[in-house]
Amino acid sequence: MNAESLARTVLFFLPVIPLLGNVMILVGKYALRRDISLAVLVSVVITQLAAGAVLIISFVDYPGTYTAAVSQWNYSIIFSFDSNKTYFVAAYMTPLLFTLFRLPLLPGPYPRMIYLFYLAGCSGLLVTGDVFTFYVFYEVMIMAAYVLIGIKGKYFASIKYMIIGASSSALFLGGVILLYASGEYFGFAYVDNLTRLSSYNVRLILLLFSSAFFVKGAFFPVSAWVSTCHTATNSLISAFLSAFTIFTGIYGLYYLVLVPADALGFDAIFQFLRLLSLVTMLVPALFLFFEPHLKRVIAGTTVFTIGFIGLMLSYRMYTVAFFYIVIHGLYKTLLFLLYDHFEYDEARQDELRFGGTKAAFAITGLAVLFTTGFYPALTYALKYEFVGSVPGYRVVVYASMFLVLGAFFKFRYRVISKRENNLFYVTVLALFAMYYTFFPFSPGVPGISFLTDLTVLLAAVFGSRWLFFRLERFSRLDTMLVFRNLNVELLLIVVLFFVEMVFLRIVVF
Amino acid sequence: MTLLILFIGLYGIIVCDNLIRKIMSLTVVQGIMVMSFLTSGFQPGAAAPILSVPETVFVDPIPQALMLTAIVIGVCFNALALAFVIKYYQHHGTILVSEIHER
Repeated sequence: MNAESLARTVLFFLPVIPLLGNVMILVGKYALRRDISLAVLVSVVITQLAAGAVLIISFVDYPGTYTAAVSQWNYSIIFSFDSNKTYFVAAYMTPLLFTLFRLPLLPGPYPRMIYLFYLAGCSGLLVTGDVFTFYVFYEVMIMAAYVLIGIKGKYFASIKYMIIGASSSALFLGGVILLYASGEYFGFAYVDNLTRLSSYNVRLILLLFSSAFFVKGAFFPVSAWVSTCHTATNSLISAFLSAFTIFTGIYGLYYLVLVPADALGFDAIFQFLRLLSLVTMLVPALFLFFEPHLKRVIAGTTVFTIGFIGLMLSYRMYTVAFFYIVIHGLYKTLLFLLYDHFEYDEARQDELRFGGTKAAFAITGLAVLFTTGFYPALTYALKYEFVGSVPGYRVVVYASMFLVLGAFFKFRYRVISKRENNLFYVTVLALFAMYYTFFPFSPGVPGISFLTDLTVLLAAVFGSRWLFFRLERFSRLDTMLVFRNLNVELLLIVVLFFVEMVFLRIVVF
Repeated sequence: MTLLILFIGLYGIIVCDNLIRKIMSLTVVQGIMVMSFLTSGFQPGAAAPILSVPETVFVDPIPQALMLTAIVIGVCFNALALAFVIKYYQHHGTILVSEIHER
């Protein structure tokens, strides 16, 4: 078997590997009377990592899109892969690698089986090439996520995620129906058919898909659920949800909305995305600054990142945006996993004080700086790639950077003696080194921009705690402004839909 | 009629305080989506897509095949959501959104 046919085989079997793992767990449980779930889980994760590596190596420079339909039928299940998907595979592999250290957090064989279903859904999404299979794999992934969110007994977080997820899926299904009624083709390349449709129908299809992905991708104002749902479970699942699952919204937005809109020259959707991303960068960052719960702050930074990525996508800087997703996956996974190394200071009853090990603090500090794009992080290079091309957004980028840094620096951390997990830290450092060695972007030359970064950092380090206590009455600002109420969040989905409808001139007043 | 039922479902999702009613409203919205898809493949006078029947014109089987999947997903969603609501009620004694304090 040559390298190309190996890559194509891997493409088909990537989502099947976790399902085979489930079969093995059941065989072990009922035929052998032994719980082999942990061993199977580790094997599946390692196999998927190897398969992902094969896909990245094979497709990183692949020209065009590799497509394979299961049959010649117009509505056949289609598998597809292109060089842009390699970024999403890398974003998937990052939390997958770290789960090796935290897999025992899943208690018993049944949560592990659910986790395998979750992995099957995630990897299926990456290789699918048609709209309906995308919907099915997305639902497999998200159903498993609902259960995994509830394993620590925070059932309302699960219910909330379910209701918001189902609402966005209903919008998505609406788009699929309209596509069927007018386009008669479900492949990701449905743009060929859209050219035959009236402008009104095209706008309606793009509206339904985009509003579904704005909700799935947690764009403001439908983003408050992130800090509730991503923090309710253990750090393993939280890391996966924040590093990969939420970005499937961006993945869908790119393949099903932006690529067709770009090909059709439909610029209004990019302008709407630009506006929405700007708000998504700033307002949730402001909420973060007033958030007194560290784990929620970690989850909330994902929304800020989504805003920044959305902004890059709106300027068609796709590669930079996708690369940012990969890097963000690394830092976000680290932040969630390191959160387990912290201790809330119960003696003082002060939720702004944490204790932890030296190494955990050091790596958390690095991850926080790198998340916000501080020199010499790769995110710094990407940030300047963007503000270099579109300088008008410098102020917004720095303002949100200050708010996010301040959200972390308002806490107080003290070193306490605790057993260090050396293997984990060594892996983390190795990954940092690997990302610097293998990826194509290199940090820009530090000059005025670096000094600005430094000023923002110093302001956050020395000013954020002072500012937070001066404005303490705004603590939990998102709750105060009723953004964290299920009914309001559902209303906001409808509002967002209608605002976009007006923006895209589907209804004209 | 489709739009009317859709708006009833949306109204229920946004306004209902009771979690079970909210889930029922979501089911209404999903149901109307399925119905819309099925009717989009309907042809007056065409037969059901069973190939053993000697008819020349059949309705398109695509919507039926695809919506069967969507219905299965919907059933899974309902079962899971209601199970979580029961669990939540057992722990907190309420299923009213207005009485749920997330913090």
